[in-house]
Amino acid sequence: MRNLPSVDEWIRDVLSGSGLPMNQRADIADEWRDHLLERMDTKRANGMTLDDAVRTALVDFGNPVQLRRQLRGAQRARDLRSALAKTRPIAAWTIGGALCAGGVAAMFLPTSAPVAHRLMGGCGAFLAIALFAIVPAFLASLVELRVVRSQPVDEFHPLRSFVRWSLVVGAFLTGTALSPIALVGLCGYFAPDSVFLSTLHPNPEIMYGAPWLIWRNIAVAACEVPVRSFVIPTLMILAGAFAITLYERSRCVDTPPDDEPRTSVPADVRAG
Amino acid sequence: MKLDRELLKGATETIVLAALDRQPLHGYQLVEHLRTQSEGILALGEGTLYPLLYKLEANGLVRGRWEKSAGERRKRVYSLTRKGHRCLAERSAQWEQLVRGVTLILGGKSYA
Repeated sequence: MRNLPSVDEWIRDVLSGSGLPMNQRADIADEWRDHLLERMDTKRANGMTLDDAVRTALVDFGNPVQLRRQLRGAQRARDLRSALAKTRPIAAWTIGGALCAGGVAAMFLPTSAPVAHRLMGGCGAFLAIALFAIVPAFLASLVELRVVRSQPVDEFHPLRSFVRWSLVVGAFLTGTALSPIALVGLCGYFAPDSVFLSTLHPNPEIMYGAPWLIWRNIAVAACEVPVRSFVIPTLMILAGAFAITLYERSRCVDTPPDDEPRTSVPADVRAG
Repeated sequence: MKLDRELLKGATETIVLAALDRQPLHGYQLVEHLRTQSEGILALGEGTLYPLLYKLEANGLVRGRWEKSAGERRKRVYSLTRKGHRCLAERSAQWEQLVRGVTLILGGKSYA
């Protein structure tokens, strides 16, 4: 009774076209096999032959084509939801990061560069760093998805959420602020004649030393204008964290569970 | 009398959540529980139940975990999560409203 090739083959056949991952498929096969064996035990206890018990248990279990279709549909919906959940924050962080990095690059380029070149440099940096910002954006997205969203939707602690988001936004802004410097430095070291550097300044030899000039400019700015250098970025981080905390609060309080229509359920029923 | 599939469709998630609210159950127990508790009216097939359980699990409403008792095969037992409890409360409130509304319209009269 424990070795039933026809049952195993039936389950394998249903799961083969389901699109489920292999580990999940093995778990489901175990679960269904156990269910079918239990059903067959009951049928045999009622006097059925083994062949009849197997046949009727499989018929009772369901239509294999429909089952496969249902599992495939559910898996596709899950994949899509998962992809969308990852894509949106990555896109948002990348655009935000590229904007910040472009701004930083334009602000801290050597002052000897003409204004037009500085602007062009900012635009060039924006385009180039849009690609470069994917790494910090991806890391920030992972933090957002894994750490912040892993808490149950009905557990919202404003202070904890704000602190977490301040860390995420702070780390992200720091990463993206450093990325243009790193990019210019890498270009200057590996490709001093690159188009990217020539858009920043007509003389590549000056740009070769640009990372040091940028660092020096940042250090000078920090000493001379501490308000602009520290308070403004800090305010940016706190404002970003505050906005995201508010957004998170709205998600926790107002959003009904997945696939649920919005409804006016009384508060006491909700709490119960 | 067999129930219309479409009529049953909206209630299946709620009755599964309600069954798991009383006690954690594995698939076979769940099928039997629903059949006996509803006096055979809601006989949910395995082909409907399992995809539904996987969907509820993916949505975080139920949690499945493998358990093994002495001398028995290991079984995947499903229980309600906190989110599932909340969802059940909402669903049951909606269900009561729906039943009340339909009963008021039918006016206690049987059209059978």
